[in-house]
Amino acid sequence: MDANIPDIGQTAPDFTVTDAFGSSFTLSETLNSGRTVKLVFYRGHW
Amino acid sequence: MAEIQNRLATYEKLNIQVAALSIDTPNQSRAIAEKMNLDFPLLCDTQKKVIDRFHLRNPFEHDGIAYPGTFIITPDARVCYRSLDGTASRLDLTEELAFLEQHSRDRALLMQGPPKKSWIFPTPKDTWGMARNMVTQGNFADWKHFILLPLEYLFILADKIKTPSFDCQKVGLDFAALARVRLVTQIDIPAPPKDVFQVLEDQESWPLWFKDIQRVEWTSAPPFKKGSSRQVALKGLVLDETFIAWEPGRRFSFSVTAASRPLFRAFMEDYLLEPSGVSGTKLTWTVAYDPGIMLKAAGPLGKHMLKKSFQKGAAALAAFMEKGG
Repeated sequence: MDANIPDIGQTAPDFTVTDAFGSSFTLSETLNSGRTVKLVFYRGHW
Repeated sequence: MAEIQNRLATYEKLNIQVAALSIDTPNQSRAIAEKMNLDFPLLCDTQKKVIDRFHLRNPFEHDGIAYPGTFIITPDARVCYRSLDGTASRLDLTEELAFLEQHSRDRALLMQGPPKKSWIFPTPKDTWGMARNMVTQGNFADWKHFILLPLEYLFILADKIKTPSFDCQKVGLDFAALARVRLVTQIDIPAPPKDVFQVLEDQESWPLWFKDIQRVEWTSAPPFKKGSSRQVALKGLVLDETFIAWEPGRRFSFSVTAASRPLFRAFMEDYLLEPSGVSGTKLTWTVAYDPGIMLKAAGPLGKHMLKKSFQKGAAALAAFMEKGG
């Protein structure tokens, strides 16, 4: 496992992506609204 | 994912925004969201920028499919909980939620110790949950996940052919003059330039007029501009493209950033639209590329076949616009 993967206590990198319905999602924007984010990386379609 | 959906109310209560990310396209993600009735966003990291920033690219295949994993990120952007999941294990949400309940009372709390993982084989409770999902929602996803797990590596291999995993050098408009191979097609189209541009912008139109193309999908949100990206699927080839020029009614140009086969080291297309006569367009379609190993092996025949394909495409676009677009 890559040692550069953000670890406990470290800062998560910011990013912007499009979601399945065309809306834009920016991590820092969601965090700035005071919410905690549960970010799940998954394999996707088979 | 179904488990997360089942517990979504708990996450909401804790003011936690759930988001799931993969390298699937919006269409593929929408299919999953609809099939599993998901009420949280599925993020489309088609260009693998996010999985690279998190260093989650799967080294097994170097094909960009992310290691599965979960990060809980606090409003000050710090990771307070993390689970990195191999192919044969999943995060136990009960423990994660127990941590999150404690964390909601003590914001400084960080995860201690490794997270609890479930076996790949479903427990009786999981089995009941999956059966219930299958009957009430027609959801086969969980069963598929367990039954096919031993074949997972085979699927990763198959995916390698279907996902753009060979990076191409991103180039600019000046590349046309520098490229090893330059193919230029010129054709008159019986429609005004802004109509032609609209057809080029419309992802649904491409398979209708360019027979070699099966699917085009925008992978960045509209409005489209320089820097926007899309994915194009032909038979046996999938390409990720980023736009290097976007002038409505005048210029439509992109550079391929990744391909599912090592055909090109760099590849760009430039569609130049100029008014012709009263209501026509002169299209100058330039394709410029540096061949990769696979294409070099095909020699002059490869270049000839590409040239023919684009000439046919240009003629087809003209015919398509003549019929009303």
